[in-house]
Amino acid sequence: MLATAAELFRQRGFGLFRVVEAGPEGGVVECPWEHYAHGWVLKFGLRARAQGGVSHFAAGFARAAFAMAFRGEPGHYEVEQTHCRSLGDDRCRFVLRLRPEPRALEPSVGAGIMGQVDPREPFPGCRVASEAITQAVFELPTEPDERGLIPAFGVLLAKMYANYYNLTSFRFLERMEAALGQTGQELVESLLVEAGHVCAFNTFGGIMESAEWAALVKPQLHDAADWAHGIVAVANALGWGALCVDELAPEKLLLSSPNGYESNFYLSKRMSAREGVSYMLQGIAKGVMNLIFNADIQSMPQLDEAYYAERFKSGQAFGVRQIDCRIGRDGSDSFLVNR
Amino acid sequence: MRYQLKTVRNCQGQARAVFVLEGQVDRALLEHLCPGGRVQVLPLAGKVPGALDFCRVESPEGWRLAAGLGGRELELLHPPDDPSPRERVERLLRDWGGA
Repeated sequence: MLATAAELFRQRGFGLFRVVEAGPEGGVVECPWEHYAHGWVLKFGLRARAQGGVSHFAAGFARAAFAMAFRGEPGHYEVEQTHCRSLGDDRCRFVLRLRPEPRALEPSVGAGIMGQVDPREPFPGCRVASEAITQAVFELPTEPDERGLIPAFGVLLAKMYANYYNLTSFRFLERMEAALGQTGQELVESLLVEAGHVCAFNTFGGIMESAEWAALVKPQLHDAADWAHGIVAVANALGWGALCVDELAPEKLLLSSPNGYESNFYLSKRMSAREGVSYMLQGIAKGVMNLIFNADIQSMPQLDEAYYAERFKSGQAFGVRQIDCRIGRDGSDSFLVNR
Repeated sequence: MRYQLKTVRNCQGQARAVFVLEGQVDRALLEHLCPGGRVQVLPLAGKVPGALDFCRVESPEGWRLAAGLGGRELELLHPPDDPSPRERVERLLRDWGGA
């Protein structure tokens, strides 16, 4: 079981998971490389030791692996991260101990409540073979390197579980609402949208400047609209939900999804009072327009923080509004992007 | 071979360089730029109209090249703060074909 967990960890690009000691009472796991710790150092540099490690996903993964290996159900182990690459250590290290009593865990929503994806007519005038691109990207091998990491498209990828993102972002929202009320809600919502926007800048920007894009997609692209169709076709291979371009002009994008993974989750949680919950997809939608019609990605600019501040946060940048939400009604999540 | 160094950036700490070549990328060129490298070809041509077979080369030192075979763009990935692979590729590109 622990060997299977280690291989799963590596295959999904989370790093190397080495069990140093293991038994029913606990053990030690070391990760010579770990996605989040390495990513933290690359993005932000080293942390002060007093701030502690950042490998929360790996810590939880180790806890679950031990629970399933020795108890057959989750909730039986505590974990402490004692070393972290983000603190300057040469590895991440976790100490696991058996709990006196198992901890009750919230059951997963599984796949969530997914909407139906109906076949659609090609977008009028679109010259991009969107379905073929989606299928080709889906089949691209994304094997981890010797570190168990997946460097591709100019960024570090990981095959993260949708419900991990959903649950952490939802709990963030819930706790900030409890602490600060509507101010907390608005603060978290804007941060989650911004996280999607930054993701689009780095990931989509990296994709559109990559050799993979040049080989697979670029031969079909003739104008800026084609670039938008091309990146949406690539995004449809990433498991975020089926994205459809409903309207596209240099000053406007209307994007929709019948099964975005955020609304799948919120629908499963029966949160009928919530509106506009597809925060990541909101950020992604405006990121597409800012990359193509505001940042001129076709000229392959240097995508650094200064460029982000200049083009993605200026008064000229595109904004986004979620104009339809699957919660409380049938249909799709829809996103209107304009200035 | 003449080329234009289109961009060098440091997204998430990764130093990247994209060379836009006057000529085309082929396997012989990649082997010249990265002798002894591990070559992986992904057959993309035919899957999407106009797509090129995609090639990745990993050098024995750990840096990587990526390009569509028959295309003009060649991407170099190497560890941050280490300019030597880029300088080496630039020198070998200039030497290639005697241009």
